[in-house]
Amino acid sequence: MSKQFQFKLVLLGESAVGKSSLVLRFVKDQFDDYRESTIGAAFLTQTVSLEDGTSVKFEIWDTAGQERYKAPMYYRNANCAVVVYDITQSASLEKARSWIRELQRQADPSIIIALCGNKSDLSARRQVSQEEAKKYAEEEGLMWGETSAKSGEGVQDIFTDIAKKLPKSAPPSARTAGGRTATGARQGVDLNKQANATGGQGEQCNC
Amino acid sequence: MHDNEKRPIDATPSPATDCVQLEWDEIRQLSLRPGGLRDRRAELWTKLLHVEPPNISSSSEPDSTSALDGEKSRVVEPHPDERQVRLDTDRSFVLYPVVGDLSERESKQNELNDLIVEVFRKRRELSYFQGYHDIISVLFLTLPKEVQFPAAEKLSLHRLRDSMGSSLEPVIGLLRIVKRVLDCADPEYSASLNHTGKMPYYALSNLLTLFSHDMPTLPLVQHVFDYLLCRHPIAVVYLAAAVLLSRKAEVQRLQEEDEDGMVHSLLSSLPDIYDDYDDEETSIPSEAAVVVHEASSPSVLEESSPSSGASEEALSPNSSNDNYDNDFLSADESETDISSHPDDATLVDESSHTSELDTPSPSMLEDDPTLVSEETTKTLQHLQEPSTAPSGSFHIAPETTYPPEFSPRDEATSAPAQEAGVRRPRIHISALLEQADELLARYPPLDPPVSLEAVMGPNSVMRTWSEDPALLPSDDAAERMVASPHLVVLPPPLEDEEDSEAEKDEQEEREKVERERRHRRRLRKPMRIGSVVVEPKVVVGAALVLGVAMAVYGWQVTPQRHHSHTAGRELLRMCKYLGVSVAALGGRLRDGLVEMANV
Repeated sequence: MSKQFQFKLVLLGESAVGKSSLVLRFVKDQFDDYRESTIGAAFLTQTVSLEDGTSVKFEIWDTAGQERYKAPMYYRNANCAVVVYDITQSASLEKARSWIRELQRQADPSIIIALCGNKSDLSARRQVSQEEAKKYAEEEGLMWGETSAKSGEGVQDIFTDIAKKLPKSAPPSARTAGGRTATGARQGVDLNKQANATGGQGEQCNC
Repeated sequence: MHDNEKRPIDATPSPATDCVQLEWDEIRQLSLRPGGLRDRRAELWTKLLHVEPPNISSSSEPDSTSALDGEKSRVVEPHPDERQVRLDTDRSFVLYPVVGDLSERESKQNELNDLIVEVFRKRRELSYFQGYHDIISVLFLTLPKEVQFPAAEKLSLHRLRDSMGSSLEPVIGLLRIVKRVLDCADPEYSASLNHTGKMPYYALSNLLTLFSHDMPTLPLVQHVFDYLLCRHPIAVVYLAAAVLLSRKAEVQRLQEEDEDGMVHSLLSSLPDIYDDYDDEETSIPSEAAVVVHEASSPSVLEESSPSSGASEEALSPNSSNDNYDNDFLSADESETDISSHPDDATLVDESSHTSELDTPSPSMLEDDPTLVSEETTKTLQHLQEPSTAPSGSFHIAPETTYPPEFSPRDEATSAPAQEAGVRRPRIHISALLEQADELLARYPPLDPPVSLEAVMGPNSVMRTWSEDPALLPSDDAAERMVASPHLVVLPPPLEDEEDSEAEKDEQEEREKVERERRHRRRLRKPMRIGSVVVEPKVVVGAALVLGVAMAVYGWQVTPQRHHSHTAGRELLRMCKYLGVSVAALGGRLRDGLVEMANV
């Protein structure tokens, strides 16, 4: 009987870098050449088994890339974040940097951040060198890897590496029963707090 | 052509007059029928959007407005959002299939991109939001070329405008209204959803995109547009509520299984909606439902290859998934964990955004309060005629239980639910639309507890829209309205970012005040907006004091927008001090007070 741990993971990054494709590869091992933009965010889950017999269930928030959808609620209670850029678009690394700065400023200090250069199958059009990204990741203490959602290369690795790195000292029950992080993750939603502030208005309706 | 005498204005019925003469009620009835507006669709959409017939608008030079418009449309400087538009149009037409081969799709994408860019270059104050491209793609695929641009422009300025400012806040306001409608329609169900989050964020995509992002087929989304375009813009809120109500059984099952988290995902997908008419076009006509790159597949139900996820985001309720036996999972397969279901990846949820929720100033009085015209009231009140339908129950077609190979792929939740024998409702679109109408009639937007005007500001399309084009703000005025977001949506009850105990207390206090206010209001008959004398009496003392202060303060600074913005911040602070929500004051009180102040 393996222990299962549950963590909230958020995907961030500029529009069209392949966040949803990365998740689709991770969760379903599929790839679409054509994929619609994400509106708002998508929620999904996937479980990773580790060699030590434990398993990690990721509750994944796949967010829309446009600035206006930027919502702290998605990462506020996140245990880990995958910040994605497109290796063929140097501007997308800049965007990733700004996300990382925001996470470092706003998110839980213990959050594990992985910087992920996607579209590695398009290395002929590469604008972001591995050295540059890796150096930046080391400076900031981030995990780093390149992936191709299209070929699948590196995708499983990056999530498994995160799963390994996540703290599993607390028993699963503690994580799901306890503090706000676990509560948010358990429910797959971290919107409660905001909702608390606004949701009470209709409660007294007697009609 | 510059000679007005050749075309005497008052002798020729203006296009506007034509529009006024639209038989709105008749069209509304028609929109409920199977197939919706059918072959009259393009003609009627054009009229419903108050688009001038192209032959007139193209030939009218003397009008200074159209001359100006012409000037504006020639501006070639790119709009700041064009890059984002391109990113999205490059990924468009995945769901609504129009073409079979790549080059044809690319050319459609380019045309769509051009259409959207044209709107933003002309209406530069507007901002693009992801999902707007889905809406415009429906116009693009429905209307003749010559009216696509004016229709997109009118739609943007007078119906979509709230979402085309700098933030998502206005649509968050609509979510609050959805919540209120749910509270009324099914308090128990609504309360049970609070486990997932008190705000119905799962409805965000549908509100933002008028269902165009998630409806699985073009005919279905066209039918939804048929319904929406001949109604007040608030109708989308009631339709969203109707959709959420239709999922009740599934939600309850998930809750029994302690899968609250997945409720969120379930509700962000659509039920199995179908349409049937003429025995031909159904909810999945083959020419419409097939994902583009698999155009050879006879139907969505059969098309499903490992790479068929192109329509994942589409969440096609009619589509299936035969990828159940996904062997990718490394986790022990014995677990019944829903996460191991491959369909997990398809769930679209919504976002929101809290970062700016506390920034808008409540200086709602700084602008012209007369924007909330009597006409607006009237327009909204036509929605409020009592429903003759006695039943609040859903008219749902015979339910279908999907065999495993037909499992709906849009719900991760469907796996456990189906295993437990929960049926997925199959709903005729007409029933859904009628249900929305019924909700609209039963819980009118202006009356408590829905109280639209306590949520949306005077510049919201929800308050400026009118059937009569003469009563709409001018196109230019409408464009300018996005620059004052605090007049589009009123500040929500003060947000507590950090959930501290003190803030919880504050929240409870606010709720208490709100409850009291509501209670007192219930004791009275609903009154029209602008009733000056009576309304203040129903408000608790603190709110009244604050309201008067706001009215006077706001009135004094009205001429200077910049100052009043600061004043708004002051007011916000004052509100916080008093522990009274600005929004709780309600539109009626505010309007009444403005009138008092102006006397």
